[in-house]
Amino acid sequence: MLETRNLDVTIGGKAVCRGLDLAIEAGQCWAVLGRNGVGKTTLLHTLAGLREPECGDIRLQDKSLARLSRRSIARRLGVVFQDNEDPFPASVMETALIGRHPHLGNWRWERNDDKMRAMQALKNLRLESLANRPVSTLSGGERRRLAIATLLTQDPALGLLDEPTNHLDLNFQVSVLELLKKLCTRGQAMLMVLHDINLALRFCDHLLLLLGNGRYLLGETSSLGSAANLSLVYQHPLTELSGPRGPVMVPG
Amino acid sequence: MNAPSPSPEPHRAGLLAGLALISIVCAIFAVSVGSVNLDPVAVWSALGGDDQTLERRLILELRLPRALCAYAVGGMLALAGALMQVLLRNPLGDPYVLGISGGAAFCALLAMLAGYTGLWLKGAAFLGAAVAILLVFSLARGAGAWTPTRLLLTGVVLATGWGALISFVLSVSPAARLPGMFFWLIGDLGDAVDPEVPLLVLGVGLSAAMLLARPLNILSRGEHQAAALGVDVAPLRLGLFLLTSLVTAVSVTVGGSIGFVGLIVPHMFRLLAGSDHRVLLPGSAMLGGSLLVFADTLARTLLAPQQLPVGVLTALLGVPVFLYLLTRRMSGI
Repeated sequence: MLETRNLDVTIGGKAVCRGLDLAIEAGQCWAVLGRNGVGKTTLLHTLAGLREPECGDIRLQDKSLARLSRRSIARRLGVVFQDNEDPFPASVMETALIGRHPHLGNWRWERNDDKMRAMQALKNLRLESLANRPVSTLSGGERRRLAIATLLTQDPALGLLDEPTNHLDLNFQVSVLELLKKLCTRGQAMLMVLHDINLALRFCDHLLLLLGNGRYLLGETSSLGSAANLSLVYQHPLTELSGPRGPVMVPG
Repeated sequence: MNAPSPSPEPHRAGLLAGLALISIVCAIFAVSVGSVNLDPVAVWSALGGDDQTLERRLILELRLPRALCAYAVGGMLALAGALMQVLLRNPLGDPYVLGISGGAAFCALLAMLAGYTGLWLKGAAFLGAAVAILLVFSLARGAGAWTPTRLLLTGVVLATGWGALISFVLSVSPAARLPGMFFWLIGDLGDAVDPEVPLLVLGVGLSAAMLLARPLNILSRGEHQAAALGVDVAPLRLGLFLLTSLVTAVSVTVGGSIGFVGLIVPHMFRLLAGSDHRVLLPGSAMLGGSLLVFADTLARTLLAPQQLPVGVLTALLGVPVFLYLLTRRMSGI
């Protein structure tokens, strides 16, 4: 789905990763973990083709990302950004519908089919009753869910999500991640920046751990998600306890 | 998929049809009212008759060209305002915020100081606008990224500079020239008699903008979001800048720096029918055109035989509306 070869990403003279060889396959769900400021968002933007890597190659479905048009990238790859801007009034439905943009011809208005997709996405995020509300009246958590609904409307093979559970209450953190995981079992792939180690361990089958200074670890959660590795990521000792759904990390 | 291709939602289509009707009503009002008042029946019979009656000449040679100029200028200003607000991603953007009208005004005032009128004056205004466009474009681009903030700051600083130059010209000009300069600065359609070029630019500008309408919907939500949804942001922004600049330059060349149309008309339309540019752009153009035809008709009749600069009336009509919008927005609606 998405492959990087020998990818170097830097920001402000600081290495985010050096020689990254990442291969995301269909059906996989990846979590990116790292300390604040280590460059998780920068890496995500680079993988989306929104930023040039220092060197190395990124391939999306076996085609070099640099050679694909923005439009053909957007048909395969969607991004949920950390923040959303809305300086002009728009309704929730209109916002979800922009996800159809890469799939529509230049003169084509959204068909009923597109509207049904958007409505289904809003339903999946339990936003259907807010469909006609102005976005400016939504709470932070509702906006977050709307951004994810927009990604679902876009329906890309690969989703890159920057802190999808930010602002979400506990119940929505779990239900949103369950939803994304369900999409993975249907053959889509997800890579998400998360802050909650335990959500990452529970819902993501692969981990990319950014250690700072360009070093990283990647692999399956089952082998990589140990207290020792995660302590290395956060430079803080973690203890593994056994929870009802597998291991749980607590600080200290 | 054989589903019928959906058209704009019915109420939006109805709204656009309504605005087209308002445009026609404003035009009839404009050709009917003046030193000689005609009722619509008299207008109709004057236009129908093929003899060179006074009424017919009054309508076809004086009032109609001026009304068409006003419509084109109002439409261009509203269009440029709507586009500028997306380009800068700032609801307070207007066609003049980057100093294009400032450059035009400075050169127009210099031409007036030298005693030029008519086509020379218009040429000077257009040249000034072009210089201002090149200046803001090259300075805002610089070596770094071409961000909305950088473009806005560069434009605002340049506009301030043009303002200082305009004040300088005003302060060294002989008193006899000042009223003409004053009218130009507020915006005046008194010598707007050739509607062909402005109408053509409005038509071409609106058509070009409509090609960009859906990408503009996406761009208004941020550059990263737009790029992630398949919009080529850099060429779109460049095209948007050039289109907005050209339309603004032509409108200030014809009517001087008429205020408020470019700022408030897009906001009025957003309140009526939302922010979808496929409806907003043609709707704002028609609303802006109608508003300026109406305001210009008042400008030449309210204190007749004295004519007011139309910019006085657009501002008088515009200020309360804008304050109303602003308080609504602040109360979170």
